[in-house]
Amino acid sequence: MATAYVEDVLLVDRCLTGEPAATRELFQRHQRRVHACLYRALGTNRDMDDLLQEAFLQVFQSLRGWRAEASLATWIDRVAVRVAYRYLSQRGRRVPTTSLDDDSQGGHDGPALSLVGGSGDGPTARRQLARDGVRRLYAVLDELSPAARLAFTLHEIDGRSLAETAELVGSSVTATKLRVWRARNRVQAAAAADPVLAHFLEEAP
Amino acid sequence: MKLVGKVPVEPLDDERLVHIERRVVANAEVASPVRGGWLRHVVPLAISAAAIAIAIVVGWSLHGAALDGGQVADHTPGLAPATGDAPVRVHTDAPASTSPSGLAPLATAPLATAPLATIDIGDATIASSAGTDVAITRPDGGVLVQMAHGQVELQVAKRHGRPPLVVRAGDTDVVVVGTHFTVAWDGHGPVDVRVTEGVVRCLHAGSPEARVAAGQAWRSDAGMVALADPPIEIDTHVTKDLLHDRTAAVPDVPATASRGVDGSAGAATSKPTLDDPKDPHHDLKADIRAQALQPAMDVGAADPAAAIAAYRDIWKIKFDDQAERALYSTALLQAQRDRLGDPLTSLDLYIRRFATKHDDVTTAAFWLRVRIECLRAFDDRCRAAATAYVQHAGDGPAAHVAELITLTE
Repeated sequence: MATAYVEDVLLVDRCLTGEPAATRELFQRHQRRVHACLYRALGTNRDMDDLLQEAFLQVFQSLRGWRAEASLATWIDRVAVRVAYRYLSQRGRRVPTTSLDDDSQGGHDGPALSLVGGSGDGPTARRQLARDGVRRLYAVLDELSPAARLAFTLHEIDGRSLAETAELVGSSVTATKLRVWRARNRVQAAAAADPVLAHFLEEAP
Repeated sequence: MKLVGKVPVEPLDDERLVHIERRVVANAEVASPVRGGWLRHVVPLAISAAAIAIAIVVGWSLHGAALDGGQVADHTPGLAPATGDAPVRVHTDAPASTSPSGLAPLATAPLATAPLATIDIGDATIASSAGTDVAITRPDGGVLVQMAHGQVELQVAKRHGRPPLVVRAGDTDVVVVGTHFTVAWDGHGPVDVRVTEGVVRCLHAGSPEARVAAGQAWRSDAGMVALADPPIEIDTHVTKDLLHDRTAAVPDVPATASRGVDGSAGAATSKPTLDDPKDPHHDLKADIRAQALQPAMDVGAADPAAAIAAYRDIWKIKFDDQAERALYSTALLQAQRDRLGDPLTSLDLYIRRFATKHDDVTTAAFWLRVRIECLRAFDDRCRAAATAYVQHAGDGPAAHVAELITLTE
């Protein structure tokens, strides 16, 4: 922890002196996690180039303001969440999740595979089914407000604690808990009418 | 509902990542304050472009001067503020009519001649007289006015924690955080500094640092020189008492109309509302003041400015406990004395370096931020500082006060 912290401080100091290698190093060190965070929030790589770039440019523009009260990773995640929030707000609640159904030939509403019968038993079929479940999950999340969507994805999908989620979305723990709870109810209600989604939610990871 | 690990992240291919990285690095360098490698090639071009633009603007001003019989407008509208790394150059070819030794009386310390060009860069207004050649840049978020020769008059807004404005004339740096002063240099002789408002620090190679206050003058070859007018009356009120810290590690110097860490001030800048019993947060402010502050480290310095210089020598090169205490002490003295620098900037630096140490100095540093922010206003910054303190300190009387602060509206 202490070593990572000192490394962060030194790296930030180097970035602040305008060292291009340091800028590159900071990007490379954090891009995978930021990408994962954005991907889980949006469910798609569509516009990801712009979003990643925007997130890191904001990081560098604000780097002088990092006070190390939070870890650098958390601070960068907060910036990424803000970028995702703005993206979701500007695009409206619906974010097309095209990349998730790249392999699916079925339409949005129809199950890609039957849950019963031999075609659903193989590993390929299971992967397809899982992919379809993810697609349906994000179709439900598309109906949520950006704040609720981010709270749900950060807590339920990214596995962050409520306190960390609240910190990332800049809200109180109580409000975050309420948003997660409402989003969960919404997803469960959708699952009640959709066996593919229900199967996806119940299946062990 | 167990979704963790069930949404696989579709990776970006390497080509896309490299492309994104290139765009980020290229654009981040533009936003960064200090020159990067490729900027070494771009800067000369930018300088040339800026010089052409300035030449056009100054030429236009000179043309206007001729039309007005020599009385030039004191403002150059439309001139882009000095940003990034490309310096804004101001070069007025008219021969200088005075040398530094022939400056106008100090009472007002105006330019020796009417300003030929005035540049408003947002946080400072810089007027130059005839025969002046200066380049203005913004390194590290500050402002650097590099003089080749001539005379400039500056009106600098409070920096509010931003890096200072520096006028560099040869081996002399005049450092300012918010004031009104003139600097004159003929390019090879002594540098002459005259201050009409505020305080500047004069750093000259081989000489001790000099603090030049309003109404005072300083020359690089003679140090402080005779005054034309007495300086602004010094408020001998010592802000230490208001801080409730038991001992000062360095001898006190009179604070010139200073504002202490609690926002209390001399006659010129007092903010009576802070201690107003009608203030709904009056009791909470009293509680904040009642919390003891850890005293500054004793380095045997003659005055707070010298102590801060000694602290800087420590924390600049070290990363250990002594450096931690030196940086905290810097912030504390800056909080106690106005015009020694911005304590919040020092605390930012402190926290960036030492926040994870969880020792008594770190706790003191977090509390110092609470004290500075919350005695100023119970706003989001104050509550954020209090929240950070509670998270760091955990328990104790000060943590209780901090918790109460987080509940304010």
